[in-house]
Amino acid sequence: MSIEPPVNSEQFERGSELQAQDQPVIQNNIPPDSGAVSRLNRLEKFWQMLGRIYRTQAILTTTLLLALMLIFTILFPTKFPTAFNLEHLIIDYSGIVILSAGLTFAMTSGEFDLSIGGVLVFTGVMSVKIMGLVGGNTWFTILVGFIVSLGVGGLVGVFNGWCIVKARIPSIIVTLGTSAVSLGLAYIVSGGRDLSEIPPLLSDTLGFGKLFDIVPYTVLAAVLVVTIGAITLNLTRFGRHCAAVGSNIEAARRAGINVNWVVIRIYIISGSVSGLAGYLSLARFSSTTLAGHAQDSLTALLGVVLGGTSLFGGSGTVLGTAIGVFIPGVLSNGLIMAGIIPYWQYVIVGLVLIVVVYADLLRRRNRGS
Amino acid sequence: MSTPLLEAVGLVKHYGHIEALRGADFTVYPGEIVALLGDNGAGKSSLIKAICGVIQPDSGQIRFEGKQVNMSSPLVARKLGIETVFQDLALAPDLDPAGNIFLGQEILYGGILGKLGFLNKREMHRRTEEAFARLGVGIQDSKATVVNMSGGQRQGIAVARSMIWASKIILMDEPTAALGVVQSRRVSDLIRRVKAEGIAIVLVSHNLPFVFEIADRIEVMRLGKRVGRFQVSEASADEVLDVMTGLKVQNEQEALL
Ligand SMILES: Nc1ncnc2c1ncn2[C@@H]1O[C@H](COP(=O)(O)OP(=O)(O)O)[C@@H](O)[C@H]1O
Ligand SMILES: [Mg+2]
Repeated sequence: MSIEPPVNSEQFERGSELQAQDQPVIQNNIPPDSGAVSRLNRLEKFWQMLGRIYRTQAILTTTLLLALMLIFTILFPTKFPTAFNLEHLIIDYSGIVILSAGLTFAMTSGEFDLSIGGVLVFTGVMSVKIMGLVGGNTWFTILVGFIVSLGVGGLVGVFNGWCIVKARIPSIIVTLGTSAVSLGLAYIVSGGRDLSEIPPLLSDTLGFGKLFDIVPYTVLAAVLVVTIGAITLNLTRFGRHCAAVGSNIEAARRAGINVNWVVIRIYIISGSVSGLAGYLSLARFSSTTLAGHAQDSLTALLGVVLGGTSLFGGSGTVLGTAIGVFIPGVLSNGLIMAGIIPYWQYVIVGLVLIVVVYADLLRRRNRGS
Repeated sequence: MSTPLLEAVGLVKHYGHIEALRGADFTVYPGEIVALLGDNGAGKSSLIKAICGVIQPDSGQIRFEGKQVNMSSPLVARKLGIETVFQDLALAPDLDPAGNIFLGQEILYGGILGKLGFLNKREMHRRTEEAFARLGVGIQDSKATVVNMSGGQRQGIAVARSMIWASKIILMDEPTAALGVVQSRRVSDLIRRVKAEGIAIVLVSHNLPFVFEIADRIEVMRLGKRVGRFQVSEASADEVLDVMTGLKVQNEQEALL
């Protein structure tokens, strides 16, 4: 519809500079002096810009990450900044980067997914079992394993999503439950011991292969997941709906968005990327590494929150997450070099998580008032 | 008078033990401004939500342009050209104004990008800024999130959103409740201009002088039912208040229609 421009332009709120010259803007107690108004507007714009930077916590996180790297470079100039160390650091954390990319979607929509670590292990076990049944050391075998990993992860996601939207169980409880269930099933199916009957073709290619002899496939997979995830969350309608659901679920519903379907899709994504991470872990370690992922969900959660995704939903950044994950990564790497018992990393990760969430809470409270 | 544009007949809605609507009727004629009055808890918001498909009544009918429609979701109402400014505004605070205005009906790119669901953010911002300029909504930074905006600005976004999309009816649930004098006047200007476009407006408001200034007709609700109907030109505020509070009962003959 087209509407004639208003004859008498009182503004809803602050007037634009032009209109502010025509009439005093009483609400703001600004004298009808156009110079002062435009100066104030410029100041306000500057504050808005600062606010936006502040909100993109990714910048803060990047600074923190670089600072940590600088410290360890100074402390261990011959050990930390080597190509070998950094390459292994990145490879080691590729799996968590992938997990946390999925988790970013869930958290942007205001939900949690603590099942990702358990799903990683469970999908790996299922994949090995099925590959064993198929037999052989062919591309077909490992393709079946790939599909099983993603499929099983996706199914757990469907179950998570269903419990959350239909049974209305809080996601933190549902996914804590499925985390235990999938880990338990992993132990049951594997008979309680690590399976290592992985087709050598898988570990030779995806596990240790490098694209053009430079980029390890594991890292390439993580880069792909992060890129696709960032594009989806930022630039597509689905990503917009994830944020809307996390920001004000009732508003999303009233705008006609099928909120339940959005949430279920998020958990399918989160579950199947966990499956992908499980598959990559198999390829790399030629083992199901049953006990190796107890902290993965927590580390991923820390990465997501450090990266600037709000714990309360509404806004999220996959790129920020990918950076955030490397803070605990670099930290534990450095701690090991410093000869500190590596278990301290759990203590630190846990404490940092609490502090970061507290900061997020403070920010929420401030802007709420 | 012409045939009704929208008619709600005998709507019933329970929330647990609470009966928010007890056989509520409501009528909107084309292009009119009709005020929906009633005490707190009378069921005004529930009626509005039933009409725009946000809640589904337990029984009763809604007819639009003479045909019965099943308002099973907000999308149904939107497709019919019915938009709503909710009492709580229903904005997503983490999105920017354009994100809110186009929420649920985003503009996508054409071609393959559009099929993949890529948002045409530039076009949505352009149209939002255009609408704000046209409607006089004073928001300088259309890319800032709504969370830091004032009550008046939020109201402006919600009203602008309804005006951009509506083609038949805008339902406004207390649109001036959060506003000061100047901003309220701004809303009434907007309402008049929308009416000039031939769009009907349903206005829930507690502000009787405002209603008498702007509305063509008044319908009164009490305890989940319609209890009175008035032509503004032939009614007095006292009469309306008496019916609202239940001091006086209006019978069908008295209803001036
Ligand atoms: N979501 C809800 N859950 C339970 N009770 C509700 C809900 N919405 C409205 N009610 C109740 O229904 C009645 C009518 O409310 P409402 O439609 O909001 O009235 P009004 O807008 O006229 O003040 C009130 O008693 C209110 O408490
Ligand atoms: Mg109400």
